[in-house]
Amino acid sequence: MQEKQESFIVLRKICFYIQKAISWVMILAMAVMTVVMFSQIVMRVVVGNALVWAEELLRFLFIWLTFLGLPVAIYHNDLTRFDLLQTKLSPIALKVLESLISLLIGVVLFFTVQGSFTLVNRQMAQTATSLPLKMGIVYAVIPVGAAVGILFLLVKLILMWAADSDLVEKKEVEA
Amino acid sequence: MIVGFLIAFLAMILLGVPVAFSLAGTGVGIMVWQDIFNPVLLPHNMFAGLDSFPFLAIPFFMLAGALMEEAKITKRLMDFAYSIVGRLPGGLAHVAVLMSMIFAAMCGSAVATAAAIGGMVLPAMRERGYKNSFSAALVASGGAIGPIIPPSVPMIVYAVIAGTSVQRMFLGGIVPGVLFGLLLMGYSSFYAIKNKLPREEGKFSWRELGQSFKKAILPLGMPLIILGGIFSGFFTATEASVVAVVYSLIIGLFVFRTLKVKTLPRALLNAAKSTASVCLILATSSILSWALTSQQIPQAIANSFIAFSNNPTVILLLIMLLVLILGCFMDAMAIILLLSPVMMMVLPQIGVDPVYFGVVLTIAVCIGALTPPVGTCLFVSAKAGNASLGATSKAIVPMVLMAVLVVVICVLFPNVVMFLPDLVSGT
Repeated sequence: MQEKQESFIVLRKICFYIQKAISWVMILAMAVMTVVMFSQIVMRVVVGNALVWAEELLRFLFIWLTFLGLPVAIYHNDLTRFDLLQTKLSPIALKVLESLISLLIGVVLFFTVQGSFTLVNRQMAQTATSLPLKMGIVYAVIPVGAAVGILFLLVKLILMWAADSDLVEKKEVEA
Repeated sequence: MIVGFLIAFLAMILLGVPVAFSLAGTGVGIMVWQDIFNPVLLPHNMFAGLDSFPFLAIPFFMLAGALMEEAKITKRLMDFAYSIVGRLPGGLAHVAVLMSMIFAAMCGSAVATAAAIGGMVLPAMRERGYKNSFSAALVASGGAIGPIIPPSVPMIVYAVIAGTSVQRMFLGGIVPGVLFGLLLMGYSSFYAIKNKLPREEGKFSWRELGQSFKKAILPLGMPLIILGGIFSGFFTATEASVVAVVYSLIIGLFVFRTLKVKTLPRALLNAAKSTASVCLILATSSILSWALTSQQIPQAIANSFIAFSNNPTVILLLIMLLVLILGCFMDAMAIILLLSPVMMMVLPQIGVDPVYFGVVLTIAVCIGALTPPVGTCLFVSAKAGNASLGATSKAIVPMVLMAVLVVVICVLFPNVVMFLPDLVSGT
């Protein structure tokens, strides 16, 4: 078992650093959102008119935050779900069920990536209303988040079947 | 067909498919079945589902909650609540409910409220001889007050879909939320007397109240600023959310000094993660909504509601019953997202104000967080209180009945909800 854990160390490390990098982008986005939104209020109250570009920037950062959060949530098993059944299954049945669930998520994410190619290309012709930004770039976060999500799902499946382990420590489940 | 897909959706939820992907999967299923599937619809609808400015309040209220927790203000609130209601029969139970009500006025999420209060109150209640199952059930029910008393994440989501005013919804939630809190307190006294629980030592004293109030005055200022700002019209709900963040940063970093710059990234990340998990559901639900709308299913359901009866009270009671049943199996946000488009067609026909309906709907979906087999608040507090899910589910029955009573009161006497919004902003 130890050997198997070791053999996937590279895979684990790659996923860990990708997840870490995305988390820092999320932290940064959240911080920028707070500063911009607060400045927006100060501008409105003190100067009397709001920053024109702020609202659009905030909406985009919020959307980025959500789709970057997707792979991070997959990595940490944090997607909102109800796992009552999971606690009552035999180990092998649990593996089969979890694999089927991952497959379903994977299919949805795959279609998302596939559809995004058309969408991002189409949106590259559009420019945001107040920011000098191609809308395609804003939309690009969707396939990026979904693709990294698929990567994490695959690695998790490999780890589960080949080494009985996960990218993160199993959470304590109390009765 | 619609029944088949509803069963498939509930089956996915119960099998443990994440809520966001149960929604997306059902949407894709309907599209493929109707032969209208195109992958572009997925990213397009997810983006459109999120691209709305008022949603910005969600990350900021999450962040304000994360910062308040990081700044360890719950202890101060507990001392304050204790000095007011600690000496009543069942003192600590009253403290738990009062704390939940105060926390509800700073935080918009049921699970966050239950988690914050539970961590502080449950150990103390265990020490004083309260049954674990009762304490856990009470903390879970207190959590349900979180989104009823403003600010409220589910209300923001509903207001965006229904195109109503967030301010009016927030105002509408206050009276029902306080009413539910008072009912829970009444039940706590009854429970304490019946089970002969020991009373807390000492007597109520104004001096102790004054001292604990002084220590809690800054955290208590937060709901005042948020709600006062929103209701005076000085801020929008979205602006108030970021003011709450800045306010908790200032008191945490400079006044109490319990927040450290070094730990800020952790609070930011926690808030970002909670935002993402709520908003992914928002995003993927718009895939399903698109699929349903393309088949004119909301219209068909709306028509069958209206065909059933044109008495608003009957229809509302019926819908709330439906929501309570769905709430046993479904996530609060998913119910709001699926039901609201249907109701937007029904409400004008039966002459019901969407603000009023949204408030009652929010209360009903919050009960869903308390009812087994799938109740998020129930899970969180049973785990925090070391109580078994079965025993907690039994102990929570009377409390759920009280929440249902609140819903019935709101349906029969709409003024309970609409009194404040009408008072502040006129009809």
